[in-house]
Amino acid sequence: MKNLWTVTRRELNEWRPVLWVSAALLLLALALPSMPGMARYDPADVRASGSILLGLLLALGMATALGSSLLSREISEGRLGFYLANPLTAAQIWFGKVLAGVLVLVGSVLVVQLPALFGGNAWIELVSDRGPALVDNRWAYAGMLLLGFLLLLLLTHALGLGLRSRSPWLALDALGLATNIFLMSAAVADYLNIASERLLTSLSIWLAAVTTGWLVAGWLQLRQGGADIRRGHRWLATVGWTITVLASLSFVGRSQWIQGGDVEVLDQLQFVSASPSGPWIAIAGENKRTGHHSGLLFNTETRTSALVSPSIVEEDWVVFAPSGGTAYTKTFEQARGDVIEAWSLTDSASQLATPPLQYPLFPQLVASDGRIGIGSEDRLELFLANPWRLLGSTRLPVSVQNTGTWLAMLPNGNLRIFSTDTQLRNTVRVWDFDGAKLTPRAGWQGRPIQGWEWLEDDGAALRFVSGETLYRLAVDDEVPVQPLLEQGDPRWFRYLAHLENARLTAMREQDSTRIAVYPPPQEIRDRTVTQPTPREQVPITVPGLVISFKERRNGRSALLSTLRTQEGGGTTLFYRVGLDSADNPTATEIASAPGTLVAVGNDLFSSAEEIVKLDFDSGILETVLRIR
Amino acid sequence: MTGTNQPIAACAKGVSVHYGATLVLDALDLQVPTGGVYGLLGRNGTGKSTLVRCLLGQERPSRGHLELLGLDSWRHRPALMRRVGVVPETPQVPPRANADELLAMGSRLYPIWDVDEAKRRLRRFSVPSDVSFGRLSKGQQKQVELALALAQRPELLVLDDPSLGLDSVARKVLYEELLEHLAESGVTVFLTSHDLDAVERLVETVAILHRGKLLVEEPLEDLKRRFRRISLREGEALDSAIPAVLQRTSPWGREAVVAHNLQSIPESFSHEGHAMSLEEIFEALVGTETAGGES
Repeated sequence: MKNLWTVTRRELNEWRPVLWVSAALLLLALALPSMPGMARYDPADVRASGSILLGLLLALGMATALGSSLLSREISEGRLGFYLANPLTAAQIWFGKVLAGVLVLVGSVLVVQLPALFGGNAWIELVSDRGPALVDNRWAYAGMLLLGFLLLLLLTHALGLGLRSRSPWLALDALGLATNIFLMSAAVADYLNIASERLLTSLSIWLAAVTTGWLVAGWLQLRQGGADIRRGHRWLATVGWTITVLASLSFVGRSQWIQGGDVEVLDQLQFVSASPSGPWIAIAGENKRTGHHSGLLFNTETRTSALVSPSIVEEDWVVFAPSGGTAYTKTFEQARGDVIEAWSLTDSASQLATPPLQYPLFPQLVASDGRIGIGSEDRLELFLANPWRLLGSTRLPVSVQNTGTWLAMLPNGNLRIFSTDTQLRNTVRVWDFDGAKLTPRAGWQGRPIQGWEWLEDDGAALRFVSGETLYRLAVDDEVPVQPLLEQGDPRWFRYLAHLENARLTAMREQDSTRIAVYPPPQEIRDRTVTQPTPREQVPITVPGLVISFKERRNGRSALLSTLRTQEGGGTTLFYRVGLDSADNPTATEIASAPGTLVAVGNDLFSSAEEIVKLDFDSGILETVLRIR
Repeated sequence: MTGTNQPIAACAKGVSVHYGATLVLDALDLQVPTGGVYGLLGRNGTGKSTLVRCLLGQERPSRGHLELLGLDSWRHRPALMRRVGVVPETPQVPPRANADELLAMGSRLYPIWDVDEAKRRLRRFSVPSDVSFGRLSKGQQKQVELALALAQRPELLVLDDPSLGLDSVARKVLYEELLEHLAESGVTVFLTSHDLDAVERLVETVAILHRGKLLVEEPLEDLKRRFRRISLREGEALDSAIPAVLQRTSPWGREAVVAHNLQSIPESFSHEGHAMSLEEIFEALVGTETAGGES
């Protein structure tokens, strides 16, 4: 260590003039507020921002300058003998020089950062503006920044040595550089696209591996090449690029691994929907590899699955065709925007039926018959999937201002727009688009639509939330708007159940569930959901309508609620099975298909999550998938 | 070749060095006896500096093996450098460093480091120790490098053309300093130089490198005994038993340079021709070709 530090001290002396450059940049940063045009800004912030910018530029310049003259210039000018003629090992010379380079780099940049560190809030704002992830991981980011500059220094050294050696191994440098840029740019794009949260870890590991690789390569260059620049370059290029390519391939492999996987990638099940016929269900949940929500098509018979997308953003990301032979999926990728795909389903396999249709961040709707509605700010388009065909397109009227959830797909083939009038701000306008023309349908006083749901059992109605009121809106009626429930919480709007001969809807308030039954005579009942109590089974019954019970075991409480109705002769129909964990009351989802019902929930007495399938006729509840 | 049983300070066995397709050293053998001064001569581009770098463990030969003080010079370079002082052909000291800093650095690296003696030496030649190396004259730079090389009290001193670029006064001072030190210490010196007068005064063993091979390697006295310049009268032919190294016609007539094997020098040999200086022998052996670049 003493000898290594001796080399470092010698090199620091050699780089002393850099301090003058830092001092000059520091003075420039301090003088920035007095520059023309800067008077209107806070001087402390100007100085701090300037010092950050100048510091980064200095770091880039210093890393390049230090790297290009780290060793290669001495070797090519025949001056390396100064060190080699002393009792210094290759490791002491190389690592002593690199340590000096890092100290010079960090020291010179820190000098320029003084105004930012001790005045103004530029660094704090820079960090806090980019969210809690950056704040929480600030030391990891700082380490990555340092590693990045060190890698730049080492790569500049490699490039400088290659150019000065004029050896044929320079071709390996070019090939290695191009290969790695190709591999890494594609993989980083994938990460940003589907798992940006995982990028920090993977990139840190890659940076550490590659930087270590080049450090080792530089040491071997000196150890095996000595003063022979060509031999040294051969070692440097071979070892450096081999390790870099291996690290990059590992990075790409991890990226592919993160993007792939089966149901086992799901950490938490959140959405489920069932095909109207056939064995397929669609599952979405939190992907432990990506940290995003992933969507899979799962065959309940064969227990096989296909990962549709490592990243979905909406609950209604999949629509099954009535035949069960096609699934239309809507996913999101950072690079491509919204992507719609049609999947061909058989009893045993699934495969992508069409090339993806990509739309960047526009509201899109997919109907079970394969129609795709796409609405941008000023345009509506109606497609048919599989194969893709444009059915119609129209420009939106100037008076239409789209807010909230503004596009709906009607079973009659039309697209419906809920818009706010640009002139009368409290007026909601409804337009229908049949693929040829846009027709105004209705208008009323009210707040913008916040969400809607097609009432399948109603045949011709949408249910939607505007403000705190739940409405029913018929498709074809000219006077369609019918309030169902007021003063509710629209976030609970989706927890609904439909009865066969009556429609049930519910909204939840803080501690109670408000239930409405329609069509007229409308019956609205309020029922309070009580907290679970230990090991008791207390039916909460709305006569003929709702039964639920709750149970507590092994310190975990769970609420199993069953909505059912009794229709003449005591026939029982199940409409909902929710396994509501007290720890995670929202981890339930339900989907129904003729004769069956699929539900997701926490296992009552373990930490596992499961998908259960309920057969209406037999009443048998079967677990088809269990995770964790 | 030396052919003695003296201990060996440095040796090379079958050393070849290629730079791409260029063969710089070709299966070269060399032995530097301990004690005394060994002079390696050669024209520019014959591979002297390459051989020195290989000998010092700074460069690995393509083939062959080199030893310094009984150790593999490539594998044991750091340890060997505690026992070997080096004055390179061109200045290698970082230009911003001054002698004080370099002496302080040496004291941290070497188990034996005579700072006082080095400073005395520098003072004797009026070399300021606080002025950066790049601002010193070439003669002063050489004195600094020599002071650094001697401060560790080396067993072997390697001087790679130390007088290169020095004027005649500086050259004289340098060699006088060297002679004085040698007289005091008895250290082995490996010297390469183009200054043949100085070499002739200093060396005990001489080697001449040409086209990557050693043409001669023997004590200087033996070499000078073997070589003679003979003036030939018109129509006179050389004795076929005496090999001619060179025949040429000068304004003063025809002459030949001949070299005998020491084991079979004829009685009349010393009377037949003129004794030659080292420079004349060197020119006779390698001076007929155009010089190349230094390697």
